[in-house]
Amino acid sequence: MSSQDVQHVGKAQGLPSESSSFLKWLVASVIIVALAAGAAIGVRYLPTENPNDTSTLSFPVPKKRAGPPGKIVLDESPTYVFGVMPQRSKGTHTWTFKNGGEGVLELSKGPSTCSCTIANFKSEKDVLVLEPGKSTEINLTWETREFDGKFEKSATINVVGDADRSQVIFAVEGTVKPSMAIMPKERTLSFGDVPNDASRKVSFALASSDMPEFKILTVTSSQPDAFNIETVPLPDDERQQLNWTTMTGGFKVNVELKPSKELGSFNEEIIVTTDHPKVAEIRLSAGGRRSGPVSIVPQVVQMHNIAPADGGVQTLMVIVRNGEDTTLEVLDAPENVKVEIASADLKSGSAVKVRQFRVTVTVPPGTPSGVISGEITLKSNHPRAERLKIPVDISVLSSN
Amino acid sequence: MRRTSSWTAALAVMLCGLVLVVVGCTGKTPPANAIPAQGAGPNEGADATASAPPVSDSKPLANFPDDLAGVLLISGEMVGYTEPCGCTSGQSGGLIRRQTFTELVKSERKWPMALIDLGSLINDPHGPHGGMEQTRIKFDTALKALTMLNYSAIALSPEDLKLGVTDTLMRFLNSLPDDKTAPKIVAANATPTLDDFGTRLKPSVRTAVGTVKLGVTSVLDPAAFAEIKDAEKDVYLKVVPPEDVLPGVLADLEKDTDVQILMVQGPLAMAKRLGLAYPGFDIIVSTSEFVEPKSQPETLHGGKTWLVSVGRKGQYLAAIGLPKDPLKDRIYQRITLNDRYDKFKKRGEPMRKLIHEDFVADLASADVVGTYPKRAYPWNGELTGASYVGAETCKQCHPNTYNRWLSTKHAEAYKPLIEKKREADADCVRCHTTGFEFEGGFASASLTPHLKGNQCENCHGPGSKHAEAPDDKVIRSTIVRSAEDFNKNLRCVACHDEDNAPHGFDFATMWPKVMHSKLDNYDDPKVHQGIKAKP
Repeated sequence: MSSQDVQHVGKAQGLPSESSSFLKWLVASVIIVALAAGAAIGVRYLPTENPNDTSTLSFPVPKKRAGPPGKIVLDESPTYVFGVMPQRSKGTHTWTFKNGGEGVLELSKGPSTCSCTIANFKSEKDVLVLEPGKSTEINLTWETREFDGKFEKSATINVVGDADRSQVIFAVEGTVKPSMAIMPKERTLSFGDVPNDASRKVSFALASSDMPEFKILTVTSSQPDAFNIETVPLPDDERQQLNWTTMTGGFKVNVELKPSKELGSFNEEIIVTTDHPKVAEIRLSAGGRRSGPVSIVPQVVQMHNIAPADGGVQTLMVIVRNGEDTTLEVLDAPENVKVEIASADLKSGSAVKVRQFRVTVTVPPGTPSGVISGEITLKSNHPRAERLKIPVDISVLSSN
Repeated sequence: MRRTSSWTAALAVMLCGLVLVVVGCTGKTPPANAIPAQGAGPNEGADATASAPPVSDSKPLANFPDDLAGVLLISGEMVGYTEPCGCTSGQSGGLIRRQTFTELVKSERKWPMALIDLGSLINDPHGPHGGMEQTRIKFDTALKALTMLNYSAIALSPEDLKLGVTDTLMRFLNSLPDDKTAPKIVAANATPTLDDFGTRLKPSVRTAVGTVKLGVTSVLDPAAFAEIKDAEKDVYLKVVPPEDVLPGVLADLEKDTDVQILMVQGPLAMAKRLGLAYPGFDIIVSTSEFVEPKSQPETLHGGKTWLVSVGRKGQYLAAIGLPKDPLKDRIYQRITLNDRYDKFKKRGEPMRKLIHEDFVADLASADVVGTYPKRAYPWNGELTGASYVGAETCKQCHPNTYNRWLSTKHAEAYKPLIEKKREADADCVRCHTTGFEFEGGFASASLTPHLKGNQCENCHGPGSKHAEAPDDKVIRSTIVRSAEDFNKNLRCVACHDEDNAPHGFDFATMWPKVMHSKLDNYDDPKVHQGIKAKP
């Protein structure tokens, strides 16, 4: 407990006047009790547990200053609303921060999510002493850059010397409206898992806040054979759904992934060029996975650092789309890997019927340490998937 | 006199002790960041950011009184940020700090703790990050991490289901231990159709902090589920409107728990709507519009219900102190997982091993860098099929330009991958090598050592055709770059983004540092002969 606390209690003698000796003892008692309490707290938070842990257990403690307290006085609410801002712009707001108390205040910068400057601060670790009656300025700057949408950014000023608070959080908020609004904002067209004999359409939308009549010049992809691309004016109802109520015009671009013999993940790009002077080119990633009639989930048997005494188990699901008559059997597996087809069920959803096989892969307890790699081979009667190979990546720890 | 004095002393000590006891025990005024759990909430729905309380940082959750029953810690929407975002120091977040914080609370405050997570552990696996396989491994790692931290419940989220509904469910099955203490995936309105999945996916869970029993449930937005592009999703998961199930789930939880918690995997408006419709819930956990959440929860029903958000990217936790007496106020504090916890990082050692060693080993084992799906470089005509040749090839005709590049940090870009042991991490490799996402670009340090670092062809495109026909004006005009093009089309920001340039990327400042116009002359006839570059 600090000396200031002791003084506070001592000053709280607005109690009826007593003899001077009583007062002395009272003050002495307060000190004794305070020291005892302080010692108890100190003992409680001494470094404990791991004797090798050399880090101390206390965070930096905001110190209380002796003497009369200062008082933070702000000229306005610590939250400032910028309103609507364009991209690549900078918003700045300045608060006047006055010490309206009788003691000094010490200010330092705490965590912030925006650029924050305090007049007269020389460095991040600097502490500014604010004398009673004096003022300083707190300046928050938020660069919108390529941000799109609502934002809220804050900066914390730590304060020592105010009896009521030890920090003030300044915040700025608003909405960044780009020249070109794009949905999805992440510029990612996610096609998900697509059967390779099927197509799937994903759309994105563009509209401009400062040039509603802009034109799309070209839309191309990094894999022209993979996609059909169609550009249409953005329907009013869809613009409303996107909450682009203050904009007019715009386009909707439909990107259809075509059926393909290719299997596996893809990571392509759609490139849009426009006549907008600020946004000549827009790139969106277009990713997903083409799967065949049979999916194995997960695709790899991966069990790392198996304890030899426990062994390990992983469950796989082999899913055959629209293959109700499919059969499956285990043909081969690496040494020390036991593979069982635990069940075979028919399941149906709104769009598809599946035959699913639950496959259990077991590394028995007592398996010698080392790496097990190779493939599990399953045999099926499906005409497009007679052999299914599942990579195995297993490591068994040493028994020591 | 002496006698009187000693009695006076004793009296004074007793009086003082009594004063301290009274002050200490009956100080009814809660810390300023405590929101009254019962009664009117004066700032209902308002931003209470402004009035920060006095904070003593000498111990974790210093404003929380010692005599709590325990603490509920809420996290969520990590969206792939298992570590502080980006590679720039000074960023907040990360699972190591999360473990450090929980260990500090355990050792320094001795409270029982319960942890719950809103889900969205990963980012869109089809987005431009580490690729699908890396995202899968990260999801497994996140599940292991939350198991290590003794989480009770993780909400089922549409974002996590983007791995593929079956894939996600199988990962719950394989990556979460099959025991009662393991975290449960919670979704009241999503029912798995397989019994296997039912062992991990529950409509609600019960947990406790000390004497306070908690009932936790979650719902996911049916519209978001409908948006997931997976033809088999409803084979394995049946999703119904939250309103169909919440009355029953809430009534069930109210039978034997003291505090009922609803996590809402949907828009903030949905969380508010459900919070207002079902006043029985004491705490509603909502998704966040911002990375940084409000410093105080909103309140509903006159302060009875708290609407809590924890931000995105795993930078914050919400800590709720639960009193032993249910009629007393709960206390709230937002925890920023910043570098103040790094001095205690030994307490996060198990998590460090999981993230910095096991996760990286899994990435290497799966060769996510080597198997990253490539695409063709997006140009047409004569340059179609061009391959990456590396800066050493460019140097043969552009020695001064090469030396200029060599003096930039771009030339050193591969070093941090070695120093931080991230050569197997596709999300990092993407911006620290040349042509990684494109056919013929960086594949691995052993296969394509000439493409380490951020070289000429990341800006100019693959250069083999130009190297072969250096005087072809069409090709030259295609690979030439301008400041205007780079600035307007945000080419630098693809890597120097908000995560990796958190203090801003000022093009006007940075461009002169890499600009290299007309540094070479081409008088030597050899430079016009062309180079057959190695494939």
